[in-house]
Amino acid sequence: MTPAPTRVPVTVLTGFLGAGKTTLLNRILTEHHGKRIAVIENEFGEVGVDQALVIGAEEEIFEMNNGCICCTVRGDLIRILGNLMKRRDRFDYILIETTGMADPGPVAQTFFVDDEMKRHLSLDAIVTLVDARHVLDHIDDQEEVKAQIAFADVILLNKTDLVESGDLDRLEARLRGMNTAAKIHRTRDASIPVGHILDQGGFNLTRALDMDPAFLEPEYPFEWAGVYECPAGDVVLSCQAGPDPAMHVAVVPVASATETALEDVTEPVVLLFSDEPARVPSGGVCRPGRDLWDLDLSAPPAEFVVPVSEAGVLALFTQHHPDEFTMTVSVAGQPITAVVSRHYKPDHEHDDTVTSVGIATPGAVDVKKLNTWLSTLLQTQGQDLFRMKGVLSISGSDERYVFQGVHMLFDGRFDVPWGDAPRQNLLIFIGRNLDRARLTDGFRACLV
Amino acid sequence: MLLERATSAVLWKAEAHAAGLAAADWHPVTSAVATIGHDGRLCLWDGLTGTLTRTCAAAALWGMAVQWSADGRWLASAAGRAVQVWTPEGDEHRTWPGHRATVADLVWHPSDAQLCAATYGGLVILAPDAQKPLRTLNWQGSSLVARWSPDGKYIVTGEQDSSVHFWITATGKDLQMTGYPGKVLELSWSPDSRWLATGGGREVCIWHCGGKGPKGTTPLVVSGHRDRVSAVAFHPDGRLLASGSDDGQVRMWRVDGADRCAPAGALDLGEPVSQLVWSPDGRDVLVGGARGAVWLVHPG
Repeated sequence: MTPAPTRVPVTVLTGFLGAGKTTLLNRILTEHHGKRIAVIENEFGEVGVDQALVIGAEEEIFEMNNGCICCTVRGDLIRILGNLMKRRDRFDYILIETTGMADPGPVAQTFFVDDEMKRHLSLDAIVTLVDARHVLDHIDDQEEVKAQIAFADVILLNKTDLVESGDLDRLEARLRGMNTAAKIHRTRDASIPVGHILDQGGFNLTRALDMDPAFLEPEYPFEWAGVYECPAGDVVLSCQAGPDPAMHVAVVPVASATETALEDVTEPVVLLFSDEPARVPSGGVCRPGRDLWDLDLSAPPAEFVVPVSEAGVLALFTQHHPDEFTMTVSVAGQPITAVVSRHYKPDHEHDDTVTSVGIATPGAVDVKKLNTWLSTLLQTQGQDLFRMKGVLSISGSDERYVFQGVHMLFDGRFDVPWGDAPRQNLLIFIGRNLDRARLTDGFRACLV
Repeated sequence: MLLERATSAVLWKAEAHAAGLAAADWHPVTSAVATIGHDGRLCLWDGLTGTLTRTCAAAALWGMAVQWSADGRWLASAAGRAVQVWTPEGDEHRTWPGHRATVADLVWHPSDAQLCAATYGGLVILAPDAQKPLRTLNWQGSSLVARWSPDGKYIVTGEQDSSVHFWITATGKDLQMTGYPGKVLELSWSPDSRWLATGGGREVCIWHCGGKGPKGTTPLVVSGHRDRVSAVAFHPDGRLLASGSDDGQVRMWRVDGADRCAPAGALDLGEPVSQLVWSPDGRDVLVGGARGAVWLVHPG
């Protein structure tokens, strides 16, 4: 029996019209990177350019008889890739360009569903180009744009020279909120080393653990909290000009000036931040307690008064980092500093229907319960689940279980032994209308 | 490339389609050979000398299939979404553009001047003298290969969704045979139309198509390959079947009159099998390997 030849890695390039796919492709085709790449473009033609073989393709989406979304594949790719493998000696990588309006689902599913594709090719990564200047114009009403961002293993935030850095930060934060697992690179004129696009291992099960654990931290509606020991009297918050014309804050009493005490009030304040805020003009009053305040910062500098009836410990939670507004807290004209303070990972955009949910938890998974939960989840929510991946600690097994999925398709297997590494479960779901609490509870119920 | 059977000598070799050859077919009577490739060209050759006699422009760059009609009067080709029929000299006779998707396969009726084009969405039956299709057989699925039974009774297709589809030519009724582990690209009829051998997994499934047909029957399932079956071919006598697999094994099977199937030999070639073709006299089977080697195997 002959050993199975190594599978050819395939990179899928997506991006809305004008994001820079053609520029990137032209760079890849003309730069001397020494890699032999077969390129499947969504145009006609077959040409050889130095190190590349370029084939034109016309998107043909095939739906199978049972009408299930996971059986939607790219028929043209199956045919072209099947033929291309007869010329296997001429290239080492395959790059597939999709049309601007393409949903990456059928492309990704092609590599899960078709046995011939699975055997000879491995989907390496989905690379999505984002036009930093124009993406906000259509991200809200084009489902394809959201899907392209959600599916991505690598996001190239392109045309960064046309956008101010503050806007760029906010855009990147929003993309990060939608897809916490993708690597984000900022580019101008789609200029990026080809090594950042090829061989990314986004669909490589053994590399599924290579997620930044920070992505799995919970997200908060505030970025910062500080604990102050306040005498009775007025505490004054002063703000200078900042990036936003308003900011939500809450001031709540805490038991002591300790991290534990701050921790104890965090969850109630998360709930508080979902309330309707009360607008406070400059010079206005923010009473400590169960209220959310919306500070008017439209005409800086601005000052706000926190009346303290008896000396005690108060925690100030701010929607944005206070440094962004050069905020000071003072008593009788003297600044006071926080005894304890903490940064929180913000949840950026509440309004995005596409989000990521990360779960990181110790404990051993009961395989039977997991299978039941997952199959129900995929059947009921498969259409909304774009990507999922993770590493699980399975009860009774010494090996890590790695898995990933695209919509309703699932691929998982036991991998290397845990050894000395701490056993834990790391999962990430990227999709539409995900219910973090339900997913987390559902998974926790699978633990032994 | 033309090889001599007795000596294995290469009689001629020609670079036909730089971007890759998709299909080739000998004329049933003359020495003409037609080829089509991914360069948008349809080529006619003198099969004995390797002389290129005519180059025609196919309807699209991506040529898929080329086949002579049973009587040799017509040559049909498929490229992109179009089907074309040519005279034996290479003059364009008729073009049917604009099929629903790229035409995946093309097959002539075993005796009549009728042509079946397989595509995503079903089959279309065409005749060289009519622009209007004779019949459209709709099916929500992707038909990848089509084979007309030698008696003309059935058209059978191998499907992307891991099934085999039978169309009864007379009525247009159909049967879907599911349960295959993967898509089915391997189909071979016995010359008496009694059996249809199919791949689509590690096993060969043989459907009994004589009598009342395969409806409601279970196929003979033949196990022995350790890897995916990649080619099947019935011997001209209809009783011996050759099968090849991705692990480079060729196996022979004997199907007897009592509808049983027994192993009749195996051979390891060490290269994934891509093609199996019996010589017309049934003495040898020609095996094509996925990495370019060719073997002539004499069974028994």
